[in-house]
Amino acid sequence: MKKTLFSAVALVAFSFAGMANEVKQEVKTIEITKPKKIEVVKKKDCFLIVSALMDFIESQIGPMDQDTAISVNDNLMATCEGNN
Amino acid sequence: MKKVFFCFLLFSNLINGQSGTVIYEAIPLQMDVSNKKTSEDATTDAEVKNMIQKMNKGNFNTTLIFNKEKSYFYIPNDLNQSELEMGEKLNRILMKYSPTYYVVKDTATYTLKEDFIVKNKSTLEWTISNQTKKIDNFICYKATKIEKFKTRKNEDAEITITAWFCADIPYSYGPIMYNGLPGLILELEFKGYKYVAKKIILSPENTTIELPSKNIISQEEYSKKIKENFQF
Repeated sequence: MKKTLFSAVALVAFSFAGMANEVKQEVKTIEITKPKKIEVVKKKDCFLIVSALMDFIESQIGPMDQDTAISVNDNLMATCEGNN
Repeated sequence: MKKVFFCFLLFSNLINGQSGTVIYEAIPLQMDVSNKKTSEDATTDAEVKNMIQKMNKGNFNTTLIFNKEKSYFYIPNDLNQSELEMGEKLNRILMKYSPTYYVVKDTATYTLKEDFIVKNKSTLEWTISNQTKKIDNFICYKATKIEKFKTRKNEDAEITITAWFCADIPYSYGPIMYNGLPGLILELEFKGYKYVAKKIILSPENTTIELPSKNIISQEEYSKKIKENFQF
């Protein structure tokens, strides 16, 4: 009787020990969300804008002298690049 | 033609006044961009049109103060360059605006820049014609000057500066760097840009005008300086 009881207790104990050694697998849930909208920023072509503007001004008032043209160009480029 | 308001403290001041102030309205050329395509690229075209609209926005006032020896052309209580709207900044450049002194005995202008003063001794004479026009009640004579310059494409070009001066107001001053006529300039025009006198105050009291103590360089040195880091 004693033997039978011992065997039963030992069986239960080994079973628990065996379960403890098992690798516990975690369940992960991956939620697939809508992809974010990708923002595309198109930088201005400052060189193109400044050239077109200077050409247009000259079409209206005639050619600029070099010092004036440099000042106009520098100011326009600085503003355009600052806004880019 | 806008009415010019003349405020004379004494009539005799026309001849004997010691000093004076003239308010000139600077009138930029209105550029028509509405029906024109400025670039094949739509974004560029829109940017150019936007800037031209800003340039067309408005006039600004300038002031000339003078005594018998010197004049000073400037914008009182002016904003810093960084505070100016781009449209006005460009108009000022195209209208050749810079705070400028004129010294009669040197027959030279002194333009104020940030760190130095640019001396420009005018060697070109005015051509005075018999053509006259009335500005308010003053008979003004037409004078022209042709300025030659190099374009950004390094080509030779020239512009005609037209001044209408009043011989009855015997001061040889005018807006920006244009002086040296036998009477005050009441209207100046070049490339469609105009400076027009709106108000003149003559005073029997003397006004002191002194050039700031800054390093003085020639126009040639100045042109060389700004081209050093720039190639078209």
